[in-house]
Amino acid sequence: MCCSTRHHPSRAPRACRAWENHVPANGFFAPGRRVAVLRAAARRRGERGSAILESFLSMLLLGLILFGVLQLFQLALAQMIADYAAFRGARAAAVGFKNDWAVIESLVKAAPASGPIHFDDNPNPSLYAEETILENFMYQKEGYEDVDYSYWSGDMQVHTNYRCPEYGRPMRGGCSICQLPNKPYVYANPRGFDETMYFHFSFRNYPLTVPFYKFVTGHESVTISSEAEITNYSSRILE
Amino acid sequence: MKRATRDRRRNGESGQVLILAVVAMILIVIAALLLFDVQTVIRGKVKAQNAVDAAALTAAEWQKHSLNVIGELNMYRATGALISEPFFRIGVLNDPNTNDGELYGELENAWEKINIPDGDFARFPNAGDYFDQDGNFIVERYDEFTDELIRIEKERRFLMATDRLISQMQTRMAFAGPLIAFGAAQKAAEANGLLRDTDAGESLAEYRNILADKVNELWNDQDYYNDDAFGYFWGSPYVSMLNSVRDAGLYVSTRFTFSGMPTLVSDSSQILAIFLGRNETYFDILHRNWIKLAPLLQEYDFPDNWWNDLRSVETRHYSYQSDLLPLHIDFSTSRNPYDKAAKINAFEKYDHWKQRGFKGYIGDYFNDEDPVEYVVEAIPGEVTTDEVTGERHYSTRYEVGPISDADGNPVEPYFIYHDEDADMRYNVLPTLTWALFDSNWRTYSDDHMQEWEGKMLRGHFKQGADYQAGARAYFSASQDTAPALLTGSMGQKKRDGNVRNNRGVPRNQFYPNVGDVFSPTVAHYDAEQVAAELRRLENSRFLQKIQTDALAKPTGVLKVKDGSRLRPFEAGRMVLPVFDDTALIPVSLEPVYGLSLSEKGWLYSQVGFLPELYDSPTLEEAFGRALEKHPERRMDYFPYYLALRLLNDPNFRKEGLDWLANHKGDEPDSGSGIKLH
Repeated sequence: MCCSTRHHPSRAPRACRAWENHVPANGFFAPGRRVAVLRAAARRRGERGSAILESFLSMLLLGLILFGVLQLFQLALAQMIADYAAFRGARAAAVGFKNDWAVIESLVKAAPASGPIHFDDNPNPSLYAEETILENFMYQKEGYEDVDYSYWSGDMQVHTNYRCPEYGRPMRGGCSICQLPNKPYVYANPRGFDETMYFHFSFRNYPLTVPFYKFVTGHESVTISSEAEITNYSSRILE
Repeated sequence: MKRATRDRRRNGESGQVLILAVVAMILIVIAALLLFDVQTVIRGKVKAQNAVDAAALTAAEWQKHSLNVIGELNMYRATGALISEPFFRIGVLNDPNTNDGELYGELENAWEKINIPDGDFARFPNAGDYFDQDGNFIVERYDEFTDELIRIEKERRFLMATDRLISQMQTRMAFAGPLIAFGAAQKAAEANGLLRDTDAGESLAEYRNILADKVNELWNDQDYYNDDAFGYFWGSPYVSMLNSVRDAGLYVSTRFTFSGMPTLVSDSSQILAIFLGRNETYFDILHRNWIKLAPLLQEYDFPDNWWNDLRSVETRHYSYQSDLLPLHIDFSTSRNPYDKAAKINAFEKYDHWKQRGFKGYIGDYFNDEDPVEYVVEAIPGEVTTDEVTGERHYSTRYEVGPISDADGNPVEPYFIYHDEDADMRYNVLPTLTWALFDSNWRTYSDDHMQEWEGKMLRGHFKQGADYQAGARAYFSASQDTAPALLTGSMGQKKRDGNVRNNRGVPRNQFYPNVGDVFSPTVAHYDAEQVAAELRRLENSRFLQKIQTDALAKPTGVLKVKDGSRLRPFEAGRMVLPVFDDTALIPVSLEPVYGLSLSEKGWLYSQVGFLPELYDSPTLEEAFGRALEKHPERRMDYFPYYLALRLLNDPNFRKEGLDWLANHKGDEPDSGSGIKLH
């Protein structure tokens, strides 16, 4: 029986031919050596499946480790960006900017961890165009009031989680009702008191698949949040 | 096991997992590097912002202390004037209705007692002792009277000397306070982990050198650059303090203007001088930023040797205070402060007087004249002869002199009686020199308020807090992101080559084509050197730095008796110790002008290269002249020289005009310019 029927057609045709002829490729032939080759071949034939299995398992393990580590990195990256966004938002609010502007400042700073941008006029913007769009969004220029990233809704006006009873309603400042948001979004909220300005920033339902996440955290989806706290300088001059 | 491994290796199966492992490792290493890179950049950004905030707040704190000390000295001066016995009538108005038993009323009663209608000196202090009931002078008491005048004169002079000394102390504070603020800000930035900004340090050294040269010139040109501030020769100590600050190291930069700073002026075209007097213009030229250059290209004709029209003149703005982080105070000797204070009801009694029919200001009742001026020397003046009568007239000039002569012997005094003194009082107020807030302290304009209060800010300004502070602490930091290998320009402008410039304007090239602009015989530099320099410039655009800034100011309001709160400068613009806090404010809320210390190349070009343009036949020659003096500044001058070369090229200008003609109406918005921090 030809080995080609037992193996995938793309697999090792040269080895297959050598097995059929029972002759080493260099033409050397000796009875003792032939026995040894046959024994080794038989052993290999028996091990072939195990080698594939070993490779598969190794790759699986390695792949798991690789993607796990990369996901951890992604998580860490998002956490750092969230920290920075919270810091910038808190500072903007602390020096006296309205909450809307502080939120916009934090959203723009969170862009690196917010997935691809969606912009109607330019569905596939370059990095430079994205910067221009963001700059225009930052100053709320006409036509740039609503900029959407995959993980945040730029205008923060309408609830994007359709499982939430508040879906479609204004949600500036975030929603406390929805517990199982199925669409990623950000929650950015400055809270100013007399002497201190707090800014809470979080990516809700961040698109990561973390095993046992609910078991460990008690939450269904991944939330990456950060809070910054800065002296509220605006209280010196504003009322 | 060894056998199985050997067999497998023999079979060519070895390395399958290894390849995957290597790929995985590479991926993980890249991801880890990226992570650390991002972490480095973010940490750098947060650190830079915190450091700049700390620097601005620290400087504002010292500005606050300085202003309060100057305000306290104003109070001390006022107290000194009030307790001076001969001038006890200060603040008392000629209002006979004020007779309510209070101090003012008692003084008025006293005034009533000595008010003899026809006696010029009736209202003079203690005049009743020297005039009889008919208003005639009691001749027997002449010696006593002159003694009294001498006593008053002595006290007046003492008060004037005290006034001058207080002004000197205030001036010292106006120089030293901001420099302490500047130095403290550097320390705060250093303590927050910033790296030393060598460009700022070199700029400060250049400023110090310019100033030191000016100080050396003072003796020849006192009118221009007065080193004597109420007896405080500030030049040398100030330069010395600058040295100390510079030696300690600069970590953050600020913006400032200084006396002696060159400014470009043009006799034929103001727009040319305005554009080429700004650092940004040169980089707009290099980047072919036509939108920004539009007014210059469209409104100026560029005749031959157009740069000969540009003259570099020294800024002659001189004030008794530090150029760095100035407090923006002024010294004034006039009655204006009192009138202004009265106008806004800052005087407690003023309202009381007004209710009784008083109209006008304090200055109306207290003129600048004193009733008697004490002199010791009468200097004969010109002798004139009446042509008709033949009479000779002598005009005698009297000078105020010492009470005693050079040997300490008493001198026989003379008196000049000033008939024009309407109030017949010694009026010390208009002769006192007060430290006032200058015009940089002002209320926000209506437009400004509408934009900020209505749109940007989270609330309304507190009563009395809606003003632009003259003393502002602005700091910026520029830190390398060199440790971040992969994402060194994250968050900064990343440009995609030859498509667009930094304002989104399409352009042909990021930098000009060397062959188009430079002839093969460019003086001093061949095309290869120019190309190398251009590459350096272009690369520098991608070696982005973390740049951030912050603005802080001292805050305080003037609390008055009725509970309302006034802006600090509303009491006749007089500096008073009312500042009780400091606050970070939005960077764009109040304007920050001047040269940035970190723009070393611009400062060098302003003082070294641009002044050479005036009578130079070619741009190359101007460049060459500048290099003869400072060959080590070639790299600093070069972008500016290159930009001027470009601007001189008719093809370059035509390219810009063509672009503007083709893009009418679709120019990108230049942005609001408001920073959200």
